[in-house]
Amino acid sequence: MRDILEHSIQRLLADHVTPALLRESEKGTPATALWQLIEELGLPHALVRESAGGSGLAWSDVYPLVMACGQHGLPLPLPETMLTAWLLDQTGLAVPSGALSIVDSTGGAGVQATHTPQGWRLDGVLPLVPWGRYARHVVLEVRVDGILHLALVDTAGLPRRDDLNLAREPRDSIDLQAAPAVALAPVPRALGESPIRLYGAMLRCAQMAGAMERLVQQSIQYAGDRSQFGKAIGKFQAIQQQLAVLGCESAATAAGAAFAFDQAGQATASFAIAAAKARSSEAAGKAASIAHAVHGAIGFTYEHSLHFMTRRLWSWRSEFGHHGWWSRRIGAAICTSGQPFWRCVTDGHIDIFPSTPSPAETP
Amino acid sequence: MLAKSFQPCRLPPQAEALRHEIRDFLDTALADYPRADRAYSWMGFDATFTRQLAARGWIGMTWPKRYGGGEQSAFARYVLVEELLAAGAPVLAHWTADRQSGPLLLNYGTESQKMRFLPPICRGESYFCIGMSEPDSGSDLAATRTRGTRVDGGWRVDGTKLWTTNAHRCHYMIALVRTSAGSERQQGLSQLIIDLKAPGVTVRPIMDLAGEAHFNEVVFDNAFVPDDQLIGAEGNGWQQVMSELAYERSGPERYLSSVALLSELLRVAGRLPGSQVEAAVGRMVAHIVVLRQMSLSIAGKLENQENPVIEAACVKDLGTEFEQLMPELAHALLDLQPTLQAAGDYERVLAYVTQVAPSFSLRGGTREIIRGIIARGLGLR
Repeated sequence: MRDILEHSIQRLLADHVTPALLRESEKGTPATALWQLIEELGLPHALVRESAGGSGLAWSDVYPLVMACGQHGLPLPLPETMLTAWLLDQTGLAVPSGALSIVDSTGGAGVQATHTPQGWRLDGVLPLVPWGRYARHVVLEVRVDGILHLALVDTAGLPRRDDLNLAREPRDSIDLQAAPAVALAPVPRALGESPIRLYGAMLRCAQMAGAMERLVQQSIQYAGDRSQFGKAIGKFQAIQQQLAVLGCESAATAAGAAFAFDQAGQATASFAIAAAKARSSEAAGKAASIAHAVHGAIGFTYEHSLHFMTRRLWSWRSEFGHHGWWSRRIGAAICTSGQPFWRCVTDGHIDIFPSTPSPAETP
Repeated sequence: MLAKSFQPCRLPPQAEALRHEIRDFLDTALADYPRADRAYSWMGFDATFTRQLAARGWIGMTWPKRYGGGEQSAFARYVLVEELLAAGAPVLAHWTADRQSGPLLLNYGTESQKMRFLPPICRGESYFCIGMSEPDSGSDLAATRTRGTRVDGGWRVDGTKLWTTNAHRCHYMIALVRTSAGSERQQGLSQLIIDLKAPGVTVRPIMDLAGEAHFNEVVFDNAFVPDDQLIGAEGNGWQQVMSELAYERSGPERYLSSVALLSELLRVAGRLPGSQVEAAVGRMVAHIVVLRQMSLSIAGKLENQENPVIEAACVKDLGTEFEQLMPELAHALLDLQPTLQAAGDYERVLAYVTQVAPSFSLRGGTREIIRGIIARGLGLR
């Protein structure tokens, strides 16, 4: 199953996500035709239960898919849509069609939910929504009487402040202006206290694993093609040693991401994902730096395709919590547990998110 | 490339169940073992502790019962090893025999060799060391010069092995020896079991920079080794040595050597240590979690009879980088001076780990050699 899925997504993306498509997308032209193909394959609802019309796959099944999205730099919100659909389905809410997104508002001002005779109204600003301009429906976290809820909003017509991450992927802020909630329901306990940040981080881990895998491939290829001092630069030990480090960082990122996807949905998920995101965010900068060093000046041009990966790594490492944020969360959880760290590592049940949100939390 | 080489591997429930038994044992057996001494990690030597482990059936625990083993799974042993290291247990006496020498004998040894050498290892009475490096053969193992000359009933061995960990306390060395006169590089090498108490063998401990004597110079001067102490086929030494390396390089000892420092750091830091300490602790733990998954993934491959040499090299390189990062992070974190007779365990552990950290990327293959192996795996060489 996993192999078939991986094979078909790799083919689809290799055929369609060309440098030309990436450049067009960066100019603001959405890859609409490719999105249609992706929808025809049923990928956006891959994680939705079969009884609700989805494919009923597990996170561990779709790990190669999300990794492939990173490896090709897919300029569409497929990972975000899959996550949003899964969250809605797990919460017992209907999943709308089309591109979906989530907003990570950890550390932000938060959204106010007010009950009115016409239903729930939501007020506040949704910061840096991934692909916000293309995702008609967005899911957010909101507290109602201190209890964490998921709310679904229709963003059509709402004022937006458009922005881009370093990879020029849309990250748009949306002003809710007391918009009605399409649906609102308490988050199931199994999803934990901060599911959007947690599972958003998990997506980025797999995407970074894919992007680093691509960096390894591209750098080896280039080191074999490029000659200086009369031989391929890949024959120099200085280059070999650097590429070995790149390979190791890529392997560590992939191992962490695979582990996180394996634990998703379980009580051990938050610790596994936190470790994976902290580790991969540390690896991202190192990996990008080595790939650029190996490629020399040509890799610094817009014409060369290397930057499609390195700019994504520089962006993704800080999305859904950067290295320091996750490291601090892990450290705080270990310290306050009062247990030997090794017990926390082996049983993995340590909760990264304290059940009562700390008002002193800094972004 | 390497990204798909590390599939998640879950420990089977029987192996997890053993974890509690091991922890209970260690709580008792190490109750009086000083915290500062736990920093020695797998360089800690204690013959009594080794015999206690043997009495529990925890040496050679995966080996066939007819050789004194326990016929348990490799995962059970994995759990045992990681618990021993996390607790800083003094495992050096039996370490090499349990990890490498025994498995090597099981793979290549004759039936009579297995019957002779394995049961005493399992009883915690017989210790082995590995004789690879020489004065002129460090990273370049194929430059081995120690020679075995055919004589009636065996070999006469002449030469010098260097940096041999624990040789001064071991009964036997498994040495890589050039047994074909005039052979070059990887050809003509064989593995011999050498009795370190035999005439013509001199073991001289070498003091390291921390003032400890862990490694040795071992000189062979016309030392006789009988025929039945050749392992495997004559001339097949290089291939046999290479097959040991995945075991040597991917185990939990490649990222847990300096964790005593983390334990002491946490003790000093307390429950609310502030954001800087929290972030550093979290960074260390994130590395440990990921390295453990990588190491476990390789254990799964070894259990399936694969030989993941490149993956093991990755764990070795990332693990030693991390082990060396730990004391650096600690120095930057707490304004406490490491001194040798400090009252605080943290300061003493930091003093020890800081001094031994350079050895982490020398032993078991230097950083540069390991990265060369990875580069070869990436198709660059």
